[in-house]
Amino acid sequence: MRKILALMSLIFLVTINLSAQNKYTISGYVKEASTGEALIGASVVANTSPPSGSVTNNYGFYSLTLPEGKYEISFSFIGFEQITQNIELNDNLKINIELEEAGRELEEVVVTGKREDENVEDISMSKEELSIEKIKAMPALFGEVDVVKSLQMLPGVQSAGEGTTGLFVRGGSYDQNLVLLDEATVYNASHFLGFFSVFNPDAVKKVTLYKGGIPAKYGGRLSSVVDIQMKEGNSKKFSGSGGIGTISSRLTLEGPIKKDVSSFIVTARRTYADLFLALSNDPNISNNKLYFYDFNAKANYRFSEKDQIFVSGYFGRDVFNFDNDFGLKWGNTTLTGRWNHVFNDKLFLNSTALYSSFDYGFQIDNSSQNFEWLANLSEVAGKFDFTYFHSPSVTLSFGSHSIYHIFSPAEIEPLNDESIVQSFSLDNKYAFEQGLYLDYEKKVNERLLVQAGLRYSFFSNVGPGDVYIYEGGEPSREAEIVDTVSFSKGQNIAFYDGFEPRLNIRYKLNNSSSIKASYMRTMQYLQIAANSTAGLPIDRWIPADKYIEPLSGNQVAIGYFRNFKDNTFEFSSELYYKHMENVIDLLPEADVFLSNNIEVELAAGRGWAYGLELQMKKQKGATTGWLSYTLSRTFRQVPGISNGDPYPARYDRIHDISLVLNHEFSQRVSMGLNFVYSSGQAVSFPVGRYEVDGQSVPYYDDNNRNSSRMPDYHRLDLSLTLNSKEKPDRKWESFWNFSIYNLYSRKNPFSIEFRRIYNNDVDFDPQEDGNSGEQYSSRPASVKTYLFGIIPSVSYNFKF
Amino acid sequence: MKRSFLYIAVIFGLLIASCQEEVRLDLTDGDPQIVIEARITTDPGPHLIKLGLTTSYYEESGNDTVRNATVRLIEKTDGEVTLNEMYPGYFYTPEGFQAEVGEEYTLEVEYNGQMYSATGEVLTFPILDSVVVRYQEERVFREAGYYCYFYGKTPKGQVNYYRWMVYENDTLFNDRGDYLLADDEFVQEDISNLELPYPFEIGDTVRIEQYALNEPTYTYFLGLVNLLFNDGGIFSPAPVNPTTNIKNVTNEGNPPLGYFQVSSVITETLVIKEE
Repeated sequence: MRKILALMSLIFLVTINLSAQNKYTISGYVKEASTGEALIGASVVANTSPPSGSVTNNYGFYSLTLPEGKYEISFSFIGFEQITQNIELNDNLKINIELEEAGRELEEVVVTGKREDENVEDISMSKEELSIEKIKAMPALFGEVDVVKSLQMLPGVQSAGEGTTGLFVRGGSYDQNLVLLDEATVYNASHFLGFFSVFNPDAVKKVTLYKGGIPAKYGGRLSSVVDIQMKEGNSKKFSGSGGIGTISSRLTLEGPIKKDVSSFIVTARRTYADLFLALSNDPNISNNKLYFYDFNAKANYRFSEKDQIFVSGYFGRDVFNFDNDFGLKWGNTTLTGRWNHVFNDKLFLNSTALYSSFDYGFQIDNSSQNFEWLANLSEVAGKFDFTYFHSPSVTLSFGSHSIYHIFSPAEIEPLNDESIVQSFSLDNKYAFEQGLYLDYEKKVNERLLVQAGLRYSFFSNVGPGDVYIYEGGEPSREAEIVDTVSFSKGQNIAFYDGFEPRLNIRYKLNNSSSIKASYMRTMQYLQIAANSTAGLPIDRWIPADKYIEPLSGNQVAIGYFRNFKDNTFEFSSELYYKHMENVIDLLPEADVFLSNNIEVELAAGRGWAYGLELQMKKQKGATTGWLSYTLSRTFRQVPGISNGDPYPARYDRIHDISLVLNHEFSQRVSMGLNFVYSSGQAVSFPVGRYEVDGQSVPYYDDNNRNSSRMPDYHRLDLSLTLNSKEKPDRKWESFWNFSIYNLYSRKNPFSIEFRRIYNNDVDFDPQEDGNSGEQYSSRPASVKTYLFGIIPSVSYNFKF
Repeated sequence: MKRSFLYIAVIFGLLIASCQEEVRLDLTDGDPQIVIEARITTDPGPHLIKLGLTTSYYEESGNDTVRNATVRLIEKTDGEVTLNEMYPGYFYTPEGFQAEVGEEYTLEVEYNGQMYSATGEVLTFPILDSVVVRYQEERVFREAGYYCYFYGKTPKGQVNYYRWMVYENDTLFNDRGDYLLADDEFVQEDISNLELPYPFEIGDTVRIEQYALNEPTYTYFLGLVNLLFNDGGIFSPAPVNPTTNIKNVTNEGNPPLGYFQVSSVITETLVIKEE
């Protein structure tokens, strides 16, 4: 600990002693003129030779320090008109700029939310940014624009299966993604068993995904960061937007509370499949409930040039009810309170208070077998993030992130006195997590840019809690529990810590190409104990404790980046290798849900992944989009599983191709196209069959897990967007979106089940259909389930 | 209780299992593996110890025949039980042979140079007080009909494992959904009003058998049910063979398939009448 503080102050001294000349700082905010939304990543460049520049941070703030003199400063952001100002710098200067959206000429219609030459210029590799406009232009399943699914179209990012929202980034599993909504952790980002994500596109401003080279300010997950920024709300005028879709409807209202000082945004979304259920005459159907909803709200207030606060929140729920017999519900709640403070022209502080909780519950009411089950996971956190714009060539970021975790895995209560179920609860677990970081970005010369970061994190599993002591010391199913040690509130049960160095280097070969390299080490102190590939709301998160050690990962990547034709085309290629330690897997027949000593149900092993990602992007012009190809492998090796030998992870896919295109025919008509191809997932198929206890049972080779392959997956989607005619005084704008998912109706297998087929009919069920016809034949077979054939959908969207 | 998660998984499955079609895959065949199945109970025998071999997956006939196997069943206090191999691989205990409560039994099988062995203890009889029949209207997961409600006790102080087998007019409910397995870890001592999930009609003869299982046997059946319900999809765990309670003594890393069950059993038979 002391070492790290010494190191931090050393770096400070080194950088701060450099200034000698008379220098002054220009700082301020860059915003969008029509709405007052902060522009993230806009560039501010002075006409020095070579040019010096700065980029706005997540709040639109920039700071640029230059020697005394006369300058021409240009403020630019792709899709917006550039503004140039001549200044005479002989004192510190505040310049707030509002950029107008560029005229809707065909060449410039796409707002990418980034700098033109970011691909080559930016320090980050393995980073993807998608603006919400781009996401909305992509065809979507049931027409539901989905932030998370659009990320799956990027190289190196995979889904668990058709239609699902879990992300598998460079061989990491779905619990290794840090999903942030306005900096608050979202533990389960899915609705409806993962087919939709919880982010209402109307509330989202920007999505950034880090697959590697993660800056030191992020910590707590191994593989990726999905950083989602919510809109701030229009601070100029009151406006609204919304849509009526096949699955859900949405409505957003935003506007100034006090013009240019304070604004708000509220947005809501709800599905209505269940409203149709209610119309049914059959009480077995009409008594069922099946819906989800989301609610996002955000407000901000600017006290002065130096202080601004933001408050935002998310609340969403999924509800399934089958009559009164069975009910399941789950949801997330997040709250973020932020205070931006500008100490001086160079030092910016964002202080954040965060709360996040995920809970699920279900109830079964079947005569005396009745009970309600509740589980909850929550965290309270505080963050301080400083940015120090030392000079145009040096930026320092440093800060602290503290989290208190509460895990409450199960509480079971009988519904009434007749229940045979006892009330019971699993022990809660508590933990404190702390991260400290320093990120040092230095432009060594025009070619070389270095970002060196160090994060130190620790995690303490604290009482109250019990630890079981096993015979022989090591937990196992066979070992007897010989003692139980109780810890009191706040007492340390287990402590882990680690350094997480991060390094990013960019070397520019010329103005249109660069080479980048990155290394990162990441620690993860909590993970999901699950035996399914895809995430479910009932997944149990477990913290590192006396027996379960934290995950750690190392990743190296190198890449070549090149832009063509005045940044119209962007080419990127990356090679990566990632190693993961202490990846857990469940032992066969593991009891995850009701075990207080879950350590005996798990085995910890390692994993590794490597791959090549190629992408060609077109950013400008009537046609935009990208083509990407990924060649990758992912392996696991866990004692007690597959004979302890390495085996491919279930989501190991060797080839992955995606094509995303958007073409604007005119200002009113545009078209989107998605095509995906991926080689089949690794899977275990039986190597034989036998009969036991009157059952036909597939026989598996337990020493060769996932040694077979599912058939290849491919799919083509199209969408057509029709905008209403633009008239200068028209308040109400609208557009129709028609989309077709899986245009050529490929029956992509979601699963292949090994079971018997009766009467040569896959749908014949001898139990249910026994009355409607005799069973005359039965044979072992393999049956494919596919989810979606061709799915057309339409939505109507409006803005006022 | 643990099975409620299976319940959830099945519901999820129903929601998404929209379209299915048969596919024929090019599957690799593994080496044939021995399947051992034995259920020795307190009911009068003969009880059967059955051996077989796995086949190709799509092979429609049953298990391949095991020849030249040696099978021994040993009662801890009274020594070896005489077995009669009536057909190849089918070994029967003597007529009227009953396992005794408190007794420990060991099964030994020698085949193809491998020695397999399993041991189990006959636990005390489960306590079944009565079975009550009531008519129920249609519910979401249940048809209308006469349902049986079970009343009994389960001794506390240790965890007990049970399996119920239910027969309708001498036909066993024997689908993958008919494994009525329960442990009493989270259940009160008095079990009352426990519904059996079958609608009966007037005149049906219902036979309910309740077995007290050793934990490893119970775990085997849980594993078997999990595998039978595994749809190979992303919500299912990786399919694995159920963890057998039979050891391969010669080569521990190559366990056989199947199970060895020794248990006490109580039986209740009733005829459904007008209320």
